[in-house]
Amino acid sequence: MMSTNQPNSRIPLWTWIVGAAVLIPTILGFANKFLDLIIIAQGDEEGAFALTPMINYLLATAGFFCMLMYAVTQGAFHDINAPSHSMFENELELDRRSANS
Amino acid sequence: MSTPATAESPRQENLVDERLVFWYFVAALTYMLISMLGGILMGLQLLRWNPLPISEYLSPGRWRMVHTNAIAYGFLANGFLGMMHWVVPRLSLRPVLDKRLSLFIFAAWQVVVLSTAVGLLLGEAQGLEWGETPVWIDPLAQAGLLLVAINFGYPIIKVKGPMYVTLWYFLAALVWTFLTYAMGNFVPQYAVTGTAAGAVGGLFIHDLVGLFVTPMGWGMMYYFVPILLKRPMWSHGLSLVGFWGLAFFYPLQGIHHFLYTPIPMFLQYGAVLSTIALEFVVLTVIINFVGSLKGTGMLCLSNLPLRYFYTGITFYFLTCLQCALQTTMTFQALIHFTDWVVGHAHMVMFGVFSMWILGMMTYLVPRLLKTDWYSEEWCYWHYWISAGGLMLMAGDLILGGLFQGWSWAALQPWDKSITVSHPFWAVRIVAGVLMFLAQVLLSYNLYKTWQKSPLRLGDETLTNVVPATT
Repeated sequence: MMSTNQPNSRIPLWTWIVGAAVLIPTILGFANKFLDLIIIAQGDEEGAFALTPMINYLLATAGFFCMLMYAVTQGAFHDINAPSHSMFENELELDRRSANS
Repeated sequence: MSTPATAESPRQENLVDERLVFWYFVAALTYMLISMLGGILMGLQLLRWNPLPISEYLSPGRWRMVHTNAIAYGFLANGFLGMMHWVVPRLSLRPVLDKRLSLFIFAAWQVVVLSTAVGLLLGEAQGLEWGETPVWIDPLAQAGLLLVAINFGYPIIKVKGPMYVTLWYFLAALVWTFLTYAMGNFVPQYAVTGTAAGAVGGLFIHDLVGLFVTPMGWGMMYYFVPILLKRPMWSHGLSLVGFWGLAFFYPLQGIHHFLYTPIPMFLQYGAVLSTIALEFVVLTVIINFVGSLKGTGMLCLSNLPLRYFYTGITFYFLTCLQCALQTTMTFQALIHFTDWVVGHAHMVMFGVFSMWILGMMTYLVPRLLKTDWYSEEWCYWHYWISAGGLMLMAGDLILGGLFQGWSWAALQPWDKSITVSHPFWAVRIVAGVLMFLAQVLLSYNLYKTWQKSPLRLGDETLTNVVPATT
């Protein structure tokens, strides 16, 4: 049986609405610009030199996205303030041990 | 950071090599003094006086490159590496991968920085700001950065469960610095040319600030500020917004260094928009640190390290606000190539990150040497002269930059803008000498503190003393 102390894991409706309002136009905008990039890559040589920084950025962003997914799987966004408190307690404990030794 | 310290948890002496942290600080301050001497030499050259005309190796043009490189790779890198040797093991509750590797990295990094300085003075610079490191040093520096990433990455990735935001910043910085260095030192040199190389150069310059110095600096703040305030951060969630915002908005910004160039306008506009977007992220970070002060604001006046930190945070907000304004095309047309940019750069590098590192040293040195500072009064003098000198220099250069921009906009002859600039350059040298003297005072204070340290005197009974924080 689930403990009554556990936080409610259901995501409120307004979170979905705000999420959709941010993500849908962002994804559409990104897809549109990505198509532009492909057209530049297939097109004239003058525009092609701009690909270097763009590909650089896309690779970096892909890396950050993978890291974000890793953070999600590690529970980084679950009990979001817990690391802040445990870090503080560990520090106090380490200093206490140093003072006692 | 889900695991609290337990009865089996390691102790400080098993986690942190305090001697190495101190050595890093000594190296950092040494390079700071060398770098500032280079800056003073260049400042005198602007006043049409070269005090060392006897040899091309002492040319201010070459020493200007030593000035910028010694700050980045000598002072900041050594300061951050020393700090990480303290912070990462204490946060992860694990020592670095190998303490012998740490010693090797320390020695190798000093060889890299010294070789860079010698290479630059011999005239072997690459043609990219901050990427001037001679080509024969690049592979060594790249290997060094890889070793650093492995040595610190190991304890971080071993942490189970959600990590504290400082470790996120450090983990990212370890990867970003490695990639950024490779991008700036190898891609324009061997792979791309012309405008594409310019665009990559812009990314490199700014990413070195945003993806190496910034995450190291903020990671450090998120660790030291709550400890000095004796309370956790106001919102760890908001700190994660700052981290992920930096990750997604920063990388495209660098091209804002090359507005009004042949780089395609869609890339320039992309850089402008991502710079302005990052301001909102910066605001979340500032709000978090101001929120953490709630009810304890007076500590900023009584606690010297905190005063350094919050002075840096204030300068950070100002520089980011400046950044959002100066990357707009209208504003850029006025300040492009002027001393405004130099003033902005000094405010970022000294006003923010150097002040943070100096504040961190002010806090950690008594703990490392197991004794109070030789003179706390000198510590206060150091703060005031450093902060005052920087305010004078940044304000002077920013104002001088506007005069230069207006002179060029009015289509006056070039030499008129030089004449207009001279009084500002004179004030700049005064400010620079003041800032240099402040660092000499700190270095002497550090030396005298080391002289009275029980570690040096061999008094083992005092080695576990934790002195009161300045």
